[in-house]
Amino acid sequence: MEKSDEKLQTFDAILSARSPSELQAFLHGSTDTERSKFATRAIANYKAACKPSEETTEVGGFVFHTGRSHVDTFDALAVLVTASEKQLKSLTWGILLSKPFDFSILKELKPKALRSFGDVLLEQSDSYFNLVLELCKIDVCQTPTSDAAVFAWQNTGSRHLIHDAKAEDISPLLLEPNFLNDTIWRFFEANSNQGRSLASLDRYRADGGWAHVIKSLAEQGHISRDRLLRESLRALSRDFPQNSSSWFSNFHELLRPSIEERMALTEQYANLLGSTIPPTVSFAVKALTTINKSRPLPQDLLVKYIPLTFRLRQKGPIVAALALLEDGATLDPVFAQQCTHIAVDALQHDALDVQAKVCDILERFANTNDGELSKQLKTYADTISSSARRRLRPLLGTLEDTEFQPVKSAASTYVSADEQTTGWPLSYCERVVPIQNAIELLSKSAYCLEHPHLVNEMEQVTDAIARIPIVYNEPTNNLIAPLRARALKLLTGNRSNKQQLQIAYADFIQCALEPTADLRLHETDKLYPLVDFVQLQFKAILLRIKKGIYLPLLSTPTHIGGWIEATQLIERHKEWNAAGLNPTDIDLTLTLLRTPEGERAKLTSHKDICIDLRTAFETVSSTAPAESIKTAHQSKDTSSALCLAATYMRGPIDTAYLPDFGTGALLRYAQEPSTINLQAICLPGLRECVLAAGVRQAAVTLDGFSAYEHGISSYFSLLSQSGAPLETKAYELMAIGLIHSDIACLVLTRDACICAIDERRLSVSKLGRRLSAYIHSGKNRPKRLVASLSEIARLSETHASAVIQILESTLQGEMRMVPVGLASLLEFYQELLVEQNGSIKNIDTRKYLETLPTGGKTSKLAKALLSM
Amino acid sequence: MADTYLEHTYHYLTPSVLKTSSGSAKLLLATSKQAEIYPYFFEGNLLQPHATAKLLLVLSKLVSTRFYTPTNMLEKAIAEADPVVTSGGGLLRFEGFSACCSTYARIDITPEGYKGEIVENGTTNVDFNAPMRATLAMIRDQDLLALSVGEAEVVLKHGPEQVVEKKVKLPYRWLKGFVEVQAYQAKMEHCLTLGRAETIKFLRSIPSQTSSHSDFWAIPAGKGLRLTQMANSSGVKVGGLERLRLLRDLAPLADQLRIFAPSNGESSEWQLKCGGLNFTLTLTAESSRGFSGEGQVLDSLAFAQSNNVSKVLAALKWQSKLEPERLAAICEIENDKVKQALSILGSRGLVGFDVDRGYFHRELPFDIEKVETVHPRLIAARKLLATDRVTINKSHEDSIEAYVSGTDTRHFVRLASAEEKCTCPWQVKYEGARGSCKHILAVKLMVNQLNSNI
Repeated sequence: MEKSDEKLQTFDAILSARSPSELQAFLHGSTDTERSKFATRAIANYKAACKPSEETTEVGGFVFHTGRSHVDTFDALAVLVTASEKQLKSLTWGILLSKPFDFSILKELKPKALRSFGDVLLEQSDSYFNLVLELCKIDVCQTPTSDAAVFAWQNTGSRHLIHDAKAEDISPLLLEPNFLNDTIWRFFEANSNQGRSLASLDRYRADGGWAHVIKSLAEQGHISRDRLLRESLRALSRDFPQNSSSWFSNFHELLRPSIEERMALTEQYANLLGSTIPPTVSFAVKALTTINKSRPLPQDLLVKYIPLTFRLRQKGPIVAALALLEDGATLDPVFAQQCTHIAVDALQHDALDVQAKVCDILERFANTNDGELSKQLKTYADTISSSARRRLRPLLGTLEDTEFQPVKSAASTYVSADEQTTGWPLSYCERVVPIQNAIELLSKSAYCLEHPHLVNEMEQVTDAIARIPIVYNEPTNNLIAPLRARALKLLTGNRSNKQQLQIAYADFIQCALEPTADLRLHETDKLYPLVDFVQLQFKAILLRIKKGIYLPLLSTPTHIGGWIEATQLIERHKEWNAAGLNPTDIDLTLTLLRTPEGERAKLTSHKDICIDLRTAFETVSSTAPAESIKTAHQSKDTSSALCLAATYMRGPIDTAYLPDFGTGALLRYAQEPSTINLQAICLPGLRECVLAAGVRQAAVTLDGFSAYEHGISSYFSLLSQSGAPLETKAYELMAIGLIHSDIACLVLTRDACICAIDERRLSVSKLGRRLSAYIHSGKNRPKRLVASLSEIARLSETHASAVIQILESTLQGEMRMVPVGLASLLEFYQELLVEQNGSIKNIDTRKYLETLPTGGKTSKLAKALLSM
Repeated sequence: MADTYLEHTYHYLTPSVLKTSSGSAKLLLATSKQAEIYPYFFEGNLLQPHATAKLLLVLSKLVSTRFYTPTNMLEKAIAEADPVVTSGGGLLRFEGFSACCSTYARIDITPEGYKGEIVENGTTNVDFNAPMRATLAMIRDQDLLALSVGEAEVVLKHGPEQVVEKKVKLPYRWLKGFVEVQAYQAKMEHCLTLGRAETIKFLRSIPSQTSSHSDFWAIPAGKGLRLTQMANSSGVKVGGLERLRLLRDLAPLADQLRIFAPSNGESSEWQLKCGGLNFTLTLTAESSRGFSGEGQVLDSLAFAQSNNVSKVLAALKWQSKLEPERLAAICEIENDKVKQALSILGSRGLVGFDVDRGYFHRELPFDIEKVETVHPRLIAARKLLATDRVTINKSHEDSIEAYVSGTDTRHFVRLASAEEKCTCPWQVKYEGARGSCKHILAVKLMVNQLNSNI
């Protein structure tokens, strides 16, 4: 070859000329090392060729980039024969797919770097499959062995499968030695790739896909059937994800192993009992059961492998495995004793069926004098179900074991007190401590800006701004500047991740701190009528303080939750009266909404309360005809917020219609926790309306669709307020909460139930009726319901008693169809009754169970319950 | 733009492999080169093969898991980082850290968990690869499982074609989180213990589809635990509940679950005891909060006295349990100075913390020095000081008031014995729960400087 610089120049010229024959001639006889000197140039040329040109086209005033790359296969060829493995990996090779490719130079030179090029290409895309096959055929590449190659084979190779795989002809591609000796066995080793697996490929093929082809290959003697049986089990032992491991178990069964073949694989099946994939364990148990029917399974195998199943969450495979153990015990009394020790450990599982099976084994085979067994049982005494404990008690009757107590006698029965708890709300809600001075006001304002969900604190800040003049001195100036800067930043910055209420408060605060500033948000974006409503208050406050008028808001809550105490209201009114000013419509409206019913009576005829508010109170409690309301509100425009609110509160309140006091329906579009919290404290007297909004949102998100994004759990937190009355919508929300998929909603509802039971506020019949509506509908979620009720019941005998009564109220009424999953509810009910040593006393519940159709597990459970 | 990654290379002579034959297996964990040597830590048998295999698989799963993906994240998740193994004081420890920096896990194999020989002490990475993990899944308790961490004869056996070299980019944030975990653990107190059946029940009650943004409290309910959303002082606060699902498959292997938390509820630790094995999972308050942003060691870093740190460092000999009193005697410094030094050494990755045993010596096999200099808040505080943005306004015996000029406003800082206040949004929002803000740190640095000059 020519000298170095000259060679490079020659190479450059060849690149420019794009002549494969010249390239081949130039590189003829060269070694890999010699060619590598040209790699950089070749790569630079290739990259430049791949880059699209700068051409643009203008259409209708829009500029489109229409440039294309001018890369040719020659450019790629030059790289392929010169670059190193690492360099090849860093490039993409789409051009090799789009144009015909001359392999002759590669055939001649056979660069070492291309030996693993097949894996490189297939890792980039399956589309290179055919190209790689060609390169392997001409011995440029070695057979790819990576997982990517396997998936490419599975995916692309499946297109070569004949449509009728049951026919005898198989594609010649699949008869190649490389495929039969190596690749096909890798199918059983490679895990799924981004959802692609043999299972997903074969799922929708009418011809059975790979499973049938591989089976045919074995039937025709091209591959070993024995090896297929073994490898499919080996693949299962790798614990691939469930959706891909199913292919291997199905394939194994497709081969229809004979009983002799299965017996030869007994140990392998048994090993699969330790799999973490439940269907794999089920498959293994089924196979062992088949073997067991022909020949008893070896005892050491049972001892070694059966306990592995106890770790599973699913009960089915465990029960089946215990059945195998039971069969082994039946054959040998000595071994039976060992079986009892093994079976006891299955009591760690909380499924009733599993525990029942263990009891079956122990009742049949346990030796009552076996001290070791008793000790073992003792470790589970506290955690097994009541029915299991009852069955096992006679076994251990000789033991005086204080930990293993007899089943509890009839529990303290839950009886609900008056649902309308006396003293609600003021006796239950914490009193609010007003902000005392400007420093506290400024500190709290800063805190609230960072925690917009703390609406009670925001109310304190709003009131303090209205009431406390800020004197600009050093201590206050220290706090004002950063607070104002922060408020402005929130207001003017990116709002996409901020809550609407936070922005509204930021607006209010920056305005309050700067005497000449105006509100930047004159209106919010109309999606939040409640925030618009509250902004009316802000505007009124700002107007006053700019005139130097500082007065307390009438509507500031005196208690957490938005409530106002009468005595405080009177004192505030006195200040307004002394100032000779009338409170604003918005302030009066919020006051009306926040005054509890019990406090209104003290205010209706109090001389210090303004006429408008007194009239509003009268309207709310009046039984006079509706026409008289207009007359009563002579001093006020009947379209004012106060009149609208009074009319609405007068009732009857239909929770299907959302309250609208002039700015739009207040309970619309509340999808942020802070706004939902604000709803609750603005409308504490319309609690049912707020909860009704919650029911609507919760129903839509029942199975987990963006419950968090909608802030739904904020509605559920209202349920758990201590002392709060529970009415229709509360029970609806509670019922839906007990079966909700969002864990926050679920846990909050359970907290609410527990609290209500503790305070004897819960009406078991009302909740039961709501639950009954759900279980007899398309919203039936029996497992979630059982989980929720179970969590509540285990707290105490009283809670268990309450749950029993709830269940009895649920299992009533006309049954058009047996609800799906009723068996799990009945099972749970039965356990509770056993625990409580009780029986069904409710006649309607008995009637309901008696109407269940006969046959099946549900019917058996019903009969067992009725006979208790 | 300053580097935000540490380029790190794992050098393994061979890939880790699990060799199986009928009824027995040997797990050969390849150790990464440290100072030109491939460490050889352990040779022996594991007494709980299935449990150990299972724990290692969960640890491996954790290091590639991201429990939180920021909305503006453009980069890929960090390449899978290999777990760290430490041999010291008779224990073998494997540590891992999630890609999102919110979860730390550690397996402790105590002397009750193995039968064999601790050959050497030290810390390095171990290779965890896909084929090895696939075969680990097949280990059952009835199998004999031998373990080698490193190899005795490495020079002649293996050819260069088997060398495994993995280049990874370890974000500084990830590294900082790894080292800051111990600062949390050191403040933890034991809260609750559950037996096996109740552990299984509780962990299985966490729904599979949970991706929770709310805080929960795990509180006693009967003999077990239940979750509540009502703040409860007798319970343990848990955010990012989905992280606990990692423990679900391990629950049947455990004898008990012990739960630890600091008094402020800003983190929690869940420890499964499985015979001679412990599996520890330490969580931040929320999935979106990594340990690295928590600033627990900032004060220590800011005011480190290098003499004391060097003395304590010199006294570390791979102990699995470092006793401050004993170290104080050896180093001839006060107990609280030893504790401060240990905290600093922790922030350099030179000690870890075990809630049962206290600090233990281990040296994370990363170049932590660079990381230490990249503590954004500390750097920002030093910059504020260097650019004369800190002014002490009033100084009393028990309080200091200062101004710190920020980007668009001037912040007011007040330091007193019982409180540290600043008007910046960070401090207002977190009130010190995530460490001091840069303004408070800057004032403290200034005060320290002034006191040193006196």
